[in-house]
Amino acid sequence: MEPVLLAKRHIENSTDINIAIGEGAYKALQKVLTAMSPPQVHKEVMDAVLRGRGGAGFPAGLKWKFLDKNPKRTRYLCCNADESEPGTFKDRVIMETDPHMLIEGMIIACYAIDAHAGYIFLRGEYANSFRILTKAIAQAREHGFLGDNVLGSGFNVNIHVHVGAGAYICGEELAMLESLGGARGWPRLKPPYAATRGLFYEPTVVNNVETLACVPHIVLRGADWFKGMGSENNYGPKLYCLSGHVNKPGVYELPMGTTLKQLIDQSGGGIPNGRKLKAVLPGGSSSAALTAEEVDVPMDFDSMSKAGSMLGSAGIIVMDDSTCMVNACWNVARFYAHESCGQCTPCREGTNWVARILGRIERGQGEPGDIDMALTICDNMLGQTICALADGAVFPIRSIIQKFRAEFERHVRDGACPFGAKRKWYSVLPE
Amino acid sequence: MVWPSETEAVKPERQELPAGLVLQIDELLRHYPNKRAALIPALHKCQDHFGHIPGGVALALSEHMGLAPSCVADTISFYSMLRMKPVGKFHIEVCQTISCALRGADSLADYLVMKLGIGFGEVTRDGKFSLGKVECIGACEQAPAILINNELYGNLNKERIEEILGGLQ
Ligand SMILES: Cc1cc2nc3c(=O)[nH]c(=O)nc-3n(C[C@H](O)[C@H](O)[C@H](O)COP(=O)(O)O)c2cc1C
Ligand code: SF4
Ligand code: FES
Repeated sequence: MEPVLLAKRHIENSTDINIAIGEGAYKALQKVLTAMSPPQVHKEVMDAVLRGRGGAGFPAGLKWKFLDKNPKRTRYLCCNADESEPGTFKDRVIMETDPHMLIEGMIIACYAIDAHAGYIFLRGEYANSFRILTKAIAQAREHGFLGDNVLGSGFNVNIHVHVGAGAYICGEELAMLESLGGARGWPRLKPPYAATRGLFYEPTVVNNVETLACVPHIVLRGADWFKGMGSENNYGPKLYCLSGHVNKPGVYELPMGTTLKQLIDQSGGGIPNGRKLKAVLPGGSSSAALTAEEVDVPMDFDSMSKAGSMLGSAGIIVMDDSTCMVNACWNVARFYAHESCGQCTPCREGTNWVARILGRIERGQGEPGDIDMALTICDNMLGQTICALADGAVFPIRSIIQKFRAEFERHVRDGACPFGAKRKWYSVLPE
Repeated sequence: MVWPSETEAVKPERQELPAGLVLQIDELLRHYPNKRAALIPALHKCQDHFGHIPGGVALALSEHMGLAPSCVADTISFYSMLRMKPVGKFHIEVCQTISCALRGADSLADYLVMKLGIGFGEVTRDGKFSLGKVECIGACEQAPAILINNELYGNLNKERIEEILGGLQ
């Protein structure tokens, strides 16, 4: 397929505004400001069924529609560039190779929802993206795309980059808005949703980087063009991130619904060292694992949920047959225990207990009831919490235990990890 | 998350904020409708300046921004990038999350521990290096990856890390 979101990836200096304009940047904005009303822009995005690329797949058009339109209130657009889901790095590639596409998408989205300020919530670890974005925004301002009276249209808009300080939970949209307000990143109980009570308690739309990056293309080429890729209700170009045991890890742009098998074998060039595929976490580490037999599935929102997993952030983590699934499961569990914000007891305690139980099984100190206890704790976390972090911990942990149970049992029975006594990573971690 | 008891309490000895830093912080305020929203970016500026956020600086910042000291301490305590204790001149953080773990983060960690002669959370005696751990830094295609003073280094093996460490002066 002709690249859309990665079209400028191999062009030298593509982050410079003059080069970007030469490649077609800000054409959609010109079209919008000269020939389209905000409802027309909104309708195009609605018709395209642009589903959120941040993980949940909620249609952007609907999200914009639910926004409180009271003219007395200040509306905000927030771009979620926190990208902390393990296995995910597509937003970074967009920001580093085509920042103007994101900025243009944000300006158009602000126009459609009648917002005059947009914040990019950028994770603090993305120092390079920060430099590129701040320069790109300054250039866009010099060219009259940002600021007062954009291109003489009378529309005013500003975009700010806000740098986060390291916390996975700040990717959750209400935690992100709390964090943007200077507080700790504690998700808020919903409702009220961000559409009525978001940033600074004003109506807010939160969209992922990739979602917003699709907007200029939809506006310029039309909803029907967008719907020419993918299958019903799962349209458009999609960025897939491949990591772990593949020959060619990286970000690949393919039509929505490309199969997981094709992604691993063709884009990723298969598994290195003549080894075999064992398991995949297909949508970042918060998605349920699929086994080697289950990978012939289209990577779109609906097919993945039918397959018992999720598209999530499309961060495909590949594991070959040399992988100890207990170790992998423990590593994932440990991550969520570290990142739980601590507000909800099932999540704060549950993630920690499961991580400890799994660590003990991996070290060969597991006891007979441990595997079932870990599963019971998972059941008691699911659906019991303020935000979806706890669910995101349960999906991979429970599925790995269920699908590779024999391996867990062997660890307990033998009192050792069958994958070798090599000093493991947990040895340098606090218990 | 880090529980508040694990972080240093805000000390009463107020440390003056240098004029240049104050200018930078005031510039940040322009981007937000209220002062508190600029707190995290302001804390980043303080950390960039001092290498960490000394208690006295947190106190001065709270006064400067019109916030309660406890509010500033609360925010610092929540975020893994903000620290109240000094680190080495070169602060090395190793990604320990799944994609890096699958591609040898454990050997890399072992190697760094051996090479620098310090454990995680420690600083070398000459103050040059310190070691820390991070969770997925969004560079999984370059696993195993690390941050040195928040700049990314990926596709690491013994030779590459040797070369990088040698280049740090
Ligand atoms: C624990 C947790 C972490 C999340 N992390 C991210 C993230 O890093 N980036 C992101 O875009 N969305 C993340 N999300 C999803 C956001 O809450 C939100 O749904 C999304 O940003 C909306 O944008 P979209 O509709 O364009 O996808 C996360 C959700 C949860 C529950
Ligand atoms: S589920 Fe976990 S991360 Fe989410 S609000 Fe509750 S404690 Fe915090
Ligand atoms: S797991 Fe290490 S960078 Fe993502």
